[in-house]
Amino acid sequence: MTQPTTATRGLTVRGVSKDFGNVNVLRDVDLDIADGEFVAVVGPSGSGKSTLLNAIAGFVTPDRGELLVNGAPVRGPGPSRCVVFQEYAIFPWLTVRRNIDFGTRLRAWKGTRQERARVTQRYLDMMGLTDFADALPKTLSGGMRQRVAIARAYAVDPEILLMDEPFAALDAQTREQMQEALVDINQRERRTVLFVTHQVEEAIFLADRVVVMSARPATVQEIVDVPWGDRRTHEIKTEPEFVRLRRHIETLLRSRR
Amino acid sequence: MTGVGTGLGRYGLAVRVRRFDVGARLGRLGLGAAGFAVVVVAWHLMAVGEIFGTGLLPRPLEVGRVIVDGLGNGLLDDLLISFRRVLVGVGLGLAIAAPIGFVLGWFGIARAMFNPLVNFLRALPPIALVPLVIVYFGIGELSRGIVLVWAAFFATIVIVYEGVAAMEEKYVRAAQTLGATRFEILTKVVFPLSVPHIMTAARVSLGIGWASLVAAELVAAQQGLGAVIQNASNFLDIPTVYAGIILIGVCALVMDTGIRMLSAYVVRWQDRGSR
Repeated sequence: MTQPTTATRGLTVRGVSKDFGNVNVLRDVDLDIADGEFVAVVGPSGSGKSTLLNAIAGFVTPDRGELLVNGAPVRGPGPSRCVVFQEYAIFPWLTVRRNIDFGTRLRAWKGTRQERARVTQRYLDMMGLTDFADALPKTLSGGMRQRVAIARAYAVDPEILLMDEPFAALDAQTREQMQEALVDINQRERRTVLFVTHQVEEAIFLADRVVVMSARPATVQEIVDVPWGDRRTHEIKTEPEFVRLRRHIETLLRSRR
Repeated sequence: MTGVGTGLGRYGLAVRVRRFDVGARLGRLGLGAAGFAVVVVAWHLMAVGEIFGTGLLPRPLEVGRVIVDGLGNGLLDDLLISFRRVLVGVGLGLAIAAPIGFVLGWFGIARAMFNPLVNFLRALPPIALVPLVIVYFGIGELSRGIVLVWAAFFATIVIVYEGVAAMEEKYVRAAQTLGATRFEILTKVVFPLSVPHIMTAARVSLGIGWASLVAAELVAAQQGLGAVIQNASNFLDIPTVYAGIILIGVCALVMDTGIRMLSAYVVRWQDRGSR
């Protein structure tokens, strides 16, 4: 899977290690994500999956190893790797519309005013937020807040989207709706996505490949290919192949605690 | 998009809650008035019973008459003078302290250096400064202004920098991954998040401001509600002393209500339920 093309486009993680004090959190993590690929990362809780995401985001500097996004090394946080956080991190003092165009109003964004308006409207529509464009976040449910966070991230057109358990705080029903909304937007917009979750079912439902991490110190234990392509409806969750993949990954997660 | 339906429901509920709020607010207003009524009745009974001796505790109605007569006869000027002193003094104190508090909150090194000093100076009651201020600046308007600005400054600076320092990291991180520079984070994230703290500081400062002003006026002033009280007590005109005290309370209450209403508008984005 380390073909020359994936080394230049997309994300390359090469031998990344990170210690916090005496605790070895990441050890020699290797991972390639191709341009436009959706990769989910699962691992036992307390493994380094969020640390890996934070390293790619630029919040954490690895002790060793290399992180490249489209061939360029990661140095600190920036809009090429936009993050959707688990906690609702949309700005409570801004309306839904102003949250979504926050990134496109910054100096880092190079578009025109008309382009900004068009981009904002497109993601309002795509996330079903048009009727709430002028609402303040406090009037929105958790699921709606995460829709805003996702729209806001797509709006800055990142080279890779990092999602850190974005649906973990939602109830089961809302969670399924959000998974479908994410499948929907990503089939239309096709971005490179790294999606961290502790839910195996969610990982298989969303991703092209599922990266299974081991317990601390986290390494890549296995990478599982998911065969459904763009056919992501609820029915696949009951297909024998889905159930088999799920069992396989859950066994892996249990085997080396 | 079933999520929209859920959201609409939530949104509709939020609107209904706000409407219900108006009724609740009227109810609270009535209860507040009832609280005052209880005290006035108790006061009246104590005055009629002459428990402090003859003529030392005026009846509420008597004080009311002094207020009504006085307001047409110079008392209103005293009230307005005190009101303006507090407004200008606290306004200046806030305006100077808020940006400094903002900087202290944002830069950890500056905070570590000035935090003990600020806390020491804040702990001093502004009234303790009055004698020194009079020695250096006389008994004019400037002296009273300095005491007021001092009081508002230290109340504000601490509230603002502690608020900024305790700001939730997630908003800064979110702005960073959207491409914000350090300066943009300061103006577009840290500043809006510090507005609620500035409003709180304004409220606290106004309270301290009234206390300090009256103390300063008691010591040295020809005009203002503190001076009215001081003059009346020299002549043992107790109803006027009460009138002055009550008018100070009314002024402070009016300002506090004003700032609370302003605050409710400026930080209407805050989610009261989760705080």
